[in-house]
Amino acid sequence: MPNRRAFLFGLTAATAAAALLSGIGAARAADPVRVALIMTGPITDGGWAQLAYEGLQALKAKGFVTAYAENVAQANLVQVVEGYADDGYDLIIGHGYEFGSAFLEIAPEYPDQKFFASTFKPEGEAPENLGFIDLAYYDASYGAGALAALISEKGKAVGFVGGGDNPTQQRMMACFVAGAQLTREGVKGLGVITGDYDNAGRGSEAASAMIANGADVIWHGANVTGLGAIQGAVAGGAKALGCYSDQTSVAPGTVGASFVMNLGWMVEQVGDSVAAGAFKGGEEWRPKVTEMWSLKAGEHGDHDSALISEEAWSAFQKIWSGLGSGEIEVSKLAP
Amino acid sequence: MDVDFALTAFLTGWLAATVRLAGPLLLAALGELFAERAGVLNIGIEGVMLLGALVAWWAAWSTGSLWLGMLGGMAAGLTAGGFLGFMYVTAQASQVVVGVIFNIFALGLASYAYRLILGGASGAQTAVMFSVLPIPLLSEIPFLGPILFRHTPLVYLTALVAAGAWFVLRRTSFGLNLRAVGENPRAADTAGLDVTAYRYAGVLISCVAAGAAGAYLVLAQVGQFRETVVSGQGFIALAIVIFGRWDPLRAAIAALIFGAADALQLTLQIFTSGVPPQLLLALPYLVTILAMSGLIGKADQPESLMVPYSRE
Repeated sequence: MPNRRAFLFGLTAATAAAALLSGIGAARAADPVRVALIMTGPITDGGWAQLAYEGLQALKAKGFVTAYAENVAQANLVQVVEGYADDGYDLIIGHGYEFGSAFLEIAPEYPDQKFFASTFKPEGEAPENLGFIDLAYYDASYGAGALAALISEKGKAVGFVGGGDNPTQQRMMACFVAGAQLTREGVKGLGVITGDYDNAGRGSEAASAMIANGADVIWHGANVTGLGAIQGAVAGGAKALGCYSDQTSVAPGTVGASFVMNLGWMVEQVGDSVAAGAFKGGEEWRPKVTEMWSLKAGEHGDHDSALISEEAWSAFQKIWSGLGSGEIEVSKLAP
Repeated sequence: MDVDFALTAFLTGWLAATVRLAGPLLLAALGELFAERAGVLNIGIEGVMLLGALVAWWAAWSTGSLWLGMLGGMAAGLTAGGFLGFMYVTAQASQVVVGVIFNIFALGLASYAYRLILGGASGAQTAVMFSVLPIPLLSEIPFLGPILFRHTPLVYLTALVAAGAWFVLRRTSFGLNLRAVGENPRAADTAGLDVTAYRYAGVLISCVAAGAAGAYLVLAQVGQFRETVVSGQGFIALAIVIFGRWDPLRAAIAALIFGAADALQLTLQIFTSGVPPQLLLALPYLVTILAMSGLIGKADQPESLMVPYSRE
């Protein structure tokens, strides 16, 4: 036992000395900002986590010191975040709704470090070193509904396939429906919440069911379920719109355009703001939908003109910029 | 007349979706049935499905052959089955613990391998998928045609596997011996049966079927690989085995009931915008729980399920 205690003491002393030394070293160097990105999914998910990870890589290329943790289980979330905080990371980004309330508790314990959760700000006060973001889901959903209605051949209906059953997905569905119905008269906005982000069979069947009810354009807000929805559109001969990442290559000739979420840009912006000492905490950052989302269609540029006519595209552009400038207020249009 | 037409269209759509949703679950459940009939509860099929999905995607994507993809998925299942069989039967470890740990291990392995295959390339790969193969003449039958005979080849194969599984378990000496080993291994041993061999056979069959089911998900539904592509469907297959009372034909009915409930809630959401979707989403699980609790006795469970066997 004494041996072990002595060893532990030695270890602590050595660690303290190392910390002191590295502290001096860091002060002498140009003080690169250290950023940690914590994700609940894998960085190869082809969307949510992967896009943020690409932003982190961009920061690394700019000279930031970066670290990341992926596939972090809900149960370990707090320990992992505190681990990076104890290691002295200047900025810790929690990527997902799971981090919202967890950060509210952790951030006050590390007042000199910055925290950023890529989710809505929860109710109540937030500390100055903790930031949140409104990712403009609803404006984007309205825009997707509008574009879907504009490119519908039959002009009867368009459909949304949702993932997990939560308020965000429900609201995305409502905004998609409003966007479709207010943009083109006679078009009905349909929607199905599948209850699962990762069940391709359900996604495909949800799309098929809506196609059977007259829908000929399908949009989605889910991961593997969304891939299934696109395959459902292929099987039913409908058009599809991608979501989160550029999904043109998933089904060329079916996916007319994708609503790509600029999560890499978000990570870079937050990193840069910390480097510049301009980090804004205690509130929700509200980028415009035209900043947070962009339209992409692989090699076609921003849309595939074989699936989206020039007329429809220019009508959509008007709505999209209206959403960006705030002329179209989705909160007032969608019930 | 119009109402009739709408009703027929609704029923056709619903029942065809039922068959499509039941397919991969049934395939995995049929294999699991052999393991459980031999006395081994193979919870590891969730992980085996994931490995099968990965190898199937990789094989189909790199060779362009869907059937090679299917074979790859089954080979992955066979390999995993060798390891699981050793742990369950030879090492006689706790079947629940081994299965649960294996599922975690498989997730890590699949993530790592997927990254190696992608080699840092990001973005989606073009899908590799089976297309619908309508059966000539049969698919033209009104009502039944679109429900039963306009699917991917994997649906027809799963139906054949179900019939084959029933025949093997009920009508062959291999099936009889396998069941004997699961009921009373000591008696089976005394009668000269090689308990170890039969249990290995059960585990290997369940793993090959799970690998094929993983391949099914990728090659008929998604066309791509993602680490979350299985996400719990192996566990649903385990429930279907119980729901189907360890019998292939009843398992087929159980899978169809689950698929029907699932398909129904998706369709109902379109028509009933007022009903909270939570209520509809719970439907398939509610049906399963109801079917499994009380209504079905424990009488059919293999007597020695989860009990390792060793000669004195």
